[in-house]
Amino acid sequence: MTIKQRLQLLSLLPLTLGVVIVVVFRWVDHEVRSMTRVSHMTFDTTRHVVELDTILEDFVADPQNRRAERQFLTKQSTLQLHLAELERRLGPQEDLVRLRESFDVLRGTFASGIRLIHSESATGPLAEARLHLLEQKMSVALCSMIADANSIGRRMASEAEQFSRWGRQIVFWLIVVEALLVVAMAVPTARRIVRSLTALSEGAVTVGRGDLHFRLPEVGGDELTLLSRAFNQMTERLLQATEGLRKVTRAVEQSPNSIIMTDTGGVIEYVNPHFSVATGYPFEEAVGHRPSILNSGHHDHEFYRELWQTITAGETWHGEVLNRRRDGTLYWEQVNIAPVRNDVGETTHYVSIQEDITELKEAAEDLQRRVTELADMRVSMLNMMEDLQEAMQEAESASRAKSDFLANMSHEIRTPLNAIVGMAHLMSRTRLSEKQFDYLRKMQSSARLLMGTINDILDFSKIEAGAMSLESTEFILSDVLRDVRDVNAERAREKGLELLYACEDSFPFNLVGDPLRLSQILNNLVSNAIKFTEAGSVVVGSGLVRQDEDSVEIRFRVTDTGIGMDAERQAALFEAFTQADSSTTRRYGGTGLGLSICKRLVEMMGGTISVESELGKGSCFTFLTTFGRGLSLPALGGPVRGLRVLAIDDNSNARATLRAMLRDEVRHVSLVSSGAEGLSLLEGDKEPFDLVIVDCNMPGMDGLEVSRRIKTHAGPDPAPRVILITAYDQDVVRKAVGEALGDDYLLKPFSQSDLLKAIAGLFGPRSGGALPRTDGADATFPGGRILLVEDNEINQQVGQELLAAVGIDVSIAADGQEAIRSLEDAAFDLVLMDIQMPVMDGYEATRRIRADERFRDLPILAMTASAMADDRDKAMAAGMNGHIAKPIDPPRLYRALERWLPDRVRRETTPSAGAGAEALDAALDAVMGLDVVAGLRHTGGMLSLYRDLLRKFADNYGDAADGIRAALATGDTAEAERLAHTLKSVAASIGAAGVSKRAAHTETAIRDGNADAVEQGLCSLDSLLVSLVSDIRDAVGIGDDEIQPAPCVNDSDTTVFRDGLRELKRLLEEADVAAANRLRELRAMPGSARFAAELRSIQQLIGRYDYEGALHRLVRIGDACAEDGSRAQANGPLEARNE
Amino acid sequence: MQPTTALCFIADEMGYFCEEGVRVTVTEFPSGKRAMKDGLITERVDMVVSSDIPVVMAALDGHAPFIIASLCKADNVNRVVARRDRGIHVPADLAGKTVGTQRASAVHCFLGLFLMEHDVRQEEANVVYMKAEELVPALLSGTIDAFSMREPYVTEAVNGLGDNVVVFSAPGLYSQVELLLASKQIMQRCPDVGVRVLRALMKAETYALGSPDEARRLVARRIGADDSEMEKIWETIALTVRLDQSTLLLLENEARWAIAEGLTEADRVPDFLELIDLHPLDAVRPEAVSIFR
Repeated sequence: MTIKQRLQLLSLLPLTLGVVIVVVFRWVDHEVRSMTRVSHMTFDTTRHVVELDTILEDFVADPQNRRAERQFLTKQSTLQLHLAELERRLGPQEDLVRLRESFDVLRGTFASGIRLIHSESATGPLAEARLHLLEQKMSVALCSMIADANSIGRRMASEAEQFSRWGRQIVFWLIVVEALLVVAMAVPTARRIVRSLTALSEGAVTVGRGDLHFRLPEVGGDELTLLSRAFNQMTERLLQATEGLRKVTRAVEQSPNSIIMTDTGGVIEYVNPHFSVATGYPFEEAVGHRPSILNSGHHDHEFYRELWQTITAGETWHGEVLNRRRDGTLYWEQVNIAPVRNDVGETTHYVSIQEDITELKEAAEDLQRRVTELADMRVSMLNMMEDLQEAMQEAESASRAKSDFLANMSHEIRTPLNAIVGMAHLMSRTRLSEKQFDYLRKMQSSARLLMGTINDILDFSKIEAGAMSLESTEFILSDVLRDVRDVNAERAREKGLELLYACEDSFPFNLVGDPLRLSQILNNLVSNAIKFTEAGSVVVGSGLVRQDEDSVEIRFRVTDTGIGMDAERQAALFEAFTQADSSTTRRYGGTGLGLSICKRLVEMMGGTISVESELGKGSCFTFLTTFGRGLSLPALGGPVRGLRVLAIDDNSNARATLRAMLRDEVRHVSLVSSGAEGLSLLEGDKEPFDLVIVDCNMPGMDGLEVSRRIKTHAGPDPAPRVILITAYDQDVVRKAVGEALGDDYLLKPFSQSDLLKAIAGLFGPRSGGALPRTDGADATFPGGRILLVEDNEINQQVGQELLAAVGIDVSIAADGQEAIRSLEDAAFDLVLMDIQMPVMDGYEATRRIRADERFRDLPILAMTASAMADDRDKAMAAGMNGHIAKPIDPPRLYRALERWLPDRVRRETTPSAGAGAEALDAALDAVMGLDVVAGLRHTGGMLSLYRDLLRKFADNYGDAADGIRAALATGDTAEAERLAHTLKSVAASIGAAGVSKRAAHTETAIRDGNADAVEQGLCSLDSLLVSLVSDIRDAVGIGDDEIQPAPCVNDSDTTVFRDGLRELKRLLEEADVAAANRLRELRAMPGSARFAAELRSIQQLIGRYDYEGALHRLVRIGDACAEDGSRAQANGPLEARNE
Repeated sequence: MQPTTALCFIADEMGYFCEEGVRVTVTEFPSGKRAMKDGLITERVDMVVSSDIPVVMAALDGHAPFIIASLCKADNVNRVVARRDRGIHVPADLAGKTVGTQRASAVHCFLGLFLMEHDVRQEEANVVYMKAEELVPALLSGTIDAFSMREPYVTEAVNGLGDNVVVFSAPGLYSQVELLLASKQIMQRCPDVGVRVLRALMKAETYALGSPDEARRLVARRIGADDSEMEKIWETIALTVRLDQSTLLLLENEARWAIAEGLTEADRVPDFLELIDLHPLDAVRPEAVSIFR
């Protein structure tokens, strides 16, 4: 127990016992009081009895006295209460019982007396005698009561006295016990304290005498032990300190340096032994003198004065001093003199430490000489380096100047070139002779080629000059790959090459990076591959290398079966201005900048590019780049959620990807690795699957076979729908779908949204499947009048038909001014207002309409292709009520109408007739770069309208890029921007997302004045539009309008067709532009159906002015035709001119 | 105007009534009987201080004022004064003599008790009744041989007769009290008036005990008496506010005496307990109430 605890106990114990004593005392006091009170009560009883006696006397003196009678009764009841209280307190006790009996006698007797007095017969001597007897009886009772009461009182008093005495004794003994306890505890504690203190003081005395090894015993665990321990630790530290001091002293004594200690006046008080050795002055001789005994006379007076000034200012002085020994010899010393301060900071001594540096000094002088020599050498070297630096700077600036020059030159060249292309386009719309038109076409083609070359040069020079910067935006990888496919597919097809995709992974999230530059790299590599491959295939692959939370690293690979190259060529491949060899340049053309640009771009993306190749066996270009991870792709809700899906793919990566894509979107996904497994699962599963997704290219049973078996198997449930996945055999798969062996197909690579779109296409509203439609386009507004303000013809048509379909009377205004006029002429319920229009734009028109009091409350909804918040705000600021994004989504449009049309326009909920009712045309589905589902959605599912729109698009926008160029050439950037904007919205509304996106980029670039980006955008628009428009024409049968195909083919048809072919061949040989028109006529002929695909390719080649290629294809048709012809015994004039 | 009313005078003079919130107007009557008859019963005054006999007579006549407290006790106030020349030397000599007194008064009662004490039967003495002020001249003129009376008539007679006088006193024979009475009306109208008045009188009592000389001089000045005379009387009276069982018995005995003497037409002793209002005194000084309850 610690001293503190003991002392606490010592103070607590008396306190506790004190409390106990107080409690006991109070209890005893309370009991005594209570007894005393009882004793007092008995005395009171006596008093009451005496008073009763007195009253009784009065009463007896005058029995008629009612006062005495009343007083007696009152007193009697008081006494009664008193007795009851006594009985309650004391319980049944002998004398108390007696008291009670006497009282009862008294009461009874008094009552008898009263009765007697008040009775009529209470007169006469008999009554008096009786009264007398009663009085006597009462007197006896009263006496007895007094005796008993006194007896109780005395007993209680004596009990109280006894109890009180007992209580005092208890308290006394408690105090005694307490005192004993306190003493029992206090004595050992005090003894412990005294002993420890005595030991401590003895220890202090011993240590004080210098015995630092003395230690106190450390027994127990209380504070005194801690004190002893602290004392011991203190002594230990003191011992250590003393030891340290001793060491220091020894160090000083044995130091190899001279150490002198002087007082503040400079008189020596101490020198160490080395001093005597070094100077020859023994200790006794040195002490009492000044250090000036060592003065050699070498240093002047000023030297010593400065020394003294330094040390008297409290600072340390360092210096080299030449001293004289006792024997007169001189020596150099390194001297450090420092003041020694006491506790309050006053200088009490100076200590000087001196080292003999005579030898060092000599060596240093030698070194100094050498250093000076070296310094001289350095200066001459520096001069040389400066010269070199200048030379280098000159070289660098020359290089930069070259790059700048190149950039400027490219720019300077491109501006007039743009003008040439634009002017050529304008010229092509004028009246031209066929020859002129042909020249013009060739000129345009050459100009475009030149433009590509210059773009390469410009890119390269920008990279060289460090002016190239990369965008960082969210994009979907499969969109980029699809673009690459769209751009290059046609050329591959022309050369008879297979353009294949081997994409291992798709991502359920956006990537962050520069999609344009990525597609530039891929396009470059793919077009190179196509260029250098004569036969075989080009495979574009992508695969995930690594991914974490923020980024993904992706490997892209472009493999061809082309000419390949040897190791030497490979080494120089990515250098600028280099191709496999100069002969290659001659043979294949090109600037040789493409790969160099690719390499730089890949490096800018933080990646690497490499090539593996073997001469004659093809090449494989691989590059790795890292992208950021963007937003996860939004999930599609609705009907898709409830599906049970079976996915069949032999590739485990592909299965994992499918699972990741579908897991959160559908109710259940089963994954198997072969067709057989899949079929058995379909057979055996209790709950039927709604959808099977199957890869076509599997070992064993391929996907087509699986699909066929599923579709032909007769079961109790309807067969599940099938989506085929293929990377290569698009045509086969498309055919299979056409023959109803599959419901839809997807080309690898595909994204999650592609897959979900395809599923939604099967199970969504358009499919007519089991699931209910949810687009909500079922409101009708008969009698509603809307003014549609829209400059674009296609959009006008879309709007008009969508609105008419719900019973709305539509008027059209082509610009803002026209809209204001229309409002003057007729009343409307609502205005749909385009923003970008010629003459007067939507903002201005709205402001003017709102300025008119009559149109304050007229609902005006903006329609704009850009969904930027900025545009919406501007629309609201101009006074519009809402905003509808273009391309128009019919359900959204109808919802907006429901909200803004006045109540007067009655609403019904009958579904609109045409919406979604028509089946999708398989031919349209085959058009690359066209999302038919999206397009149909924008036309409210009306296929006829959609086809009409596509036809208009093909007629009006095939050369949209040239139109923009022309506008730019005449310096009308506003017109160019408007054209790009229109193209963007129109393309989006027909579902040509790729074209729309490019047009949007171009629009932005025109607005920003970024000529490079404009050109880049226009180039890609060119290639995309050519193939898209051509495909659309094929699909919707443009030209068929003029010449209806005959219902059946006969010989005469074949003859006419062959004549047509001949004519076309002639035209192509002459490179006559009339070939295009001739071909269109040819394709409309009844005999053309067999060669539809070939003719389409020829048309595309002609579209690109590749007359030689077209001729080559045409010869093949001619061959086939000739065979038919020989069978039909017809002439084969084509053969004669073949070769 | 008697010194037995001393507490009232002291309270009035010292302003104790005001201190207790009671405004008192003192009206003086020549005798207690008149005070009862002309003052309290006719409601000219609300409270009366009177000796015991008038109260008993009023009670016998059926009037019922409330007795609030007794303010003074005295058992040596009355004297029998006799002419020596008529052969009266000891009380027994009164037999056959003409003794005057005031009818139905304390001195009348005292005379009865005095004669009984000295074995003189009522019939043996010729008791005649006179007004108080008529007694001294009657004695001096010899119309009567003796009279039973109190001061200041005793001194007047002694002065008039000189050596020819003998004065008998009987300390303890007849203990009389001075009572504070209140009309039923005032007690109903102001129930706490009794308590307030009693508090003022108790302050006066404290004053009289603490400063007896000043109190005595104050009272002497108030009633116009000589201080040396007052000194003699002062020793015989006990100024204290009480309500005792003995007072109750005194009133009953006096009532029996009055009936026996034929001083009243009533034949029954009234129940004086009903006329005593214990509550005010019980509220302010319970220990001074010894009436058996």
